[in-house]
Amino acid sequence: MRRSSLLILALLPLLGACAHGGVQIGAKPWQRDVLARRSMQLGRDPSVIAFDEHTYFSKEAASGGRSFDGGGCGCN
Amino acid sequence: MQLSGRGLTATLGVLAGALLGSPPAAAQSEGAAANAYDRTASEPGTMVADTAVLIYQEDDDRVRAVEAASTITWNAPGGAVVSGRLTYDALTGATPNGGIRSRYAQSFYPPSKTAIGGGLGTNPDTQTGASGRYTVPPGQLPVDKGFKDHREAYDLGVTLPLADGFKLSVGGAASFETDFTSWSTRASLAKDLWNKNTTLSVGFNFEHDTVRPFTGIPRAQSFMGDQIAGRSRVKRVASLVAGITQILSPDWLVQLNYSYGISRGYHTDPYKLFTLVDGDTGDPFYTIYEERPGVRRRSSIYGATKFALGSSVTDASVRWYHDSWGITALTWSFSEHLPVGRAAYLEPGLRYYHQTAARFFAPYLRVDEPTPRYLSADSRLSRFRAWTVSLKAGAQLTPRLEIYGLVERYVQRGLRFDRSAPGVLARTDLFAGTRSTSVISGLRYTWH
Repeated sequence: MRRSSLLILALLPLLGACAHGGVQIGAKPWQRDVLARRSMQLGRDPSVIAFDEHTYFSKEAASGGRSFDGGGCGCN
Repeated sequence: MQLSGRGLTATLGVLAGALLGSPPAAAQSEGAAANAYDRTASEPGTMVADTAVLIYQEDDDRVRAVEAASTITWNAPGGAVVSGRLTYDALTGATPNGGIRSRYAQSFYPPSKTAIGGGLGTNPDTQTGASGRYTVPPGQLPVDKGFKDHREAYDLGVTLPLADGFKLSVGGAASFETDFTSWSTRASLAKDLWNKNTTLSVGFNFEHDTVRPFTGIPRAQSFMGDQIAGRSRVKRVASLVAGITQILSPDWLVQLNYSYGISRGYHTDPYKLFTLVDGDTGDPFYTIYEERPGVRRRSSIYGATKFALGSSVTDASVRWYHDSWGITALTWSFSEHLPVGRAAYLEPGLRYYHQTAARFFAPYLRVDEPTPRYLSADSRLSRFRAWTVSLKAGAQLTPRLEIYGLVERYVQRGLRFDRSAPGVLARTDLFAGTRSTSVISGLRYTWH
């Protein structure tokens, strides 16, 4: 399990390298209107995310992923 | 071929606007946006106040929580962001205590705080009023109805843009419950690369928790009513998250995070019990306090993507999780943002979660079996799957005021019956998982 995590971690910079290299991925500065939309933001509505993560933290064994895995709560 | 129909339409729109003498709809960020949520998110020079309330109710009159959170965010003109958050929640109801159902009434009582004369269950808590002593009728899941608490939590965060596309975020949080206190501090660094198409980030968080149960700390694996082992215990959690966010096309982005956390200290739930049963009849024979390992290492890989098609946005994420207690979990989440009219949206969502059991989890053990080093009957450490179905909605009522809400149904399913269990247990429901309904409503006000 640990080895597979490390492998995926090692692959992360490759994705970025593709953006830099010949592969046509990414958006030009003048193509940002859709990405800049409110509906396209990661982690939109932080209050809803915080409520949901608090609920899942108190009911499930797994936590974190999107952000840190603590909870600051005695509920689990 | 990124000169898509949309680009062409925008160009034609500007030309048509110029011909008709109307002002060109600049970058379709304001007036020309088909829906309010198509407008640009970045708002330097604004102050945003967000207040939301969650009402959470578990089926069968179990836990009810009311949680309110208010956040103030200041987006400075130079790109710095300062954010403060205050959360208050109140919990009441009944929570499973780890014991199994029995055909007889069962009495449960807390550890005693003094060696002599403490008596069984005579430790009333001055704040919650709970005595820690209760009786459960035959056939019912043992739940502690004295469960009652409130929490105040504070969070402060600052993000500062540095030179060369670096961004530094620091923050801290504190949380206070009647029987639990948590402090944490965090720092993370992000860097934009390659025309901001790639963002790398790394962050650390350190948390210090103190648990001070109103019944005292029970002696692990000891019998109910035994003298307490102390008043409080500590746990420290250090976590790391490293991530990459990559823009794949003008309407598609992906995010990948790797997290690792190590937690050392007291992980045992001081209110949870464990039933040892008669090996022939399956009836409860003896009840002891649970015990969990002092170290827990967690790793997870989280991937998320957002893809826009017109004004709709598809959001999908997956998380793989594994910890040193032997729990492996997989979480899938999917939602679809659908514009409604010019100012509103609907967002149906679906989440699936599955986890394996901790190595030391067992719903019960036979009294004639050797007791393992660690043991817990907490259903949150058992093997189960869970579904969440949700519907979120929002509307921009005025240019400054937004309203949003969410309704959510969460259902856990696990192994209820074990035909190989001894005696009456073969016909006893062994699963103590949760089903709940949540309703969230919120308001957001922006000062320009």
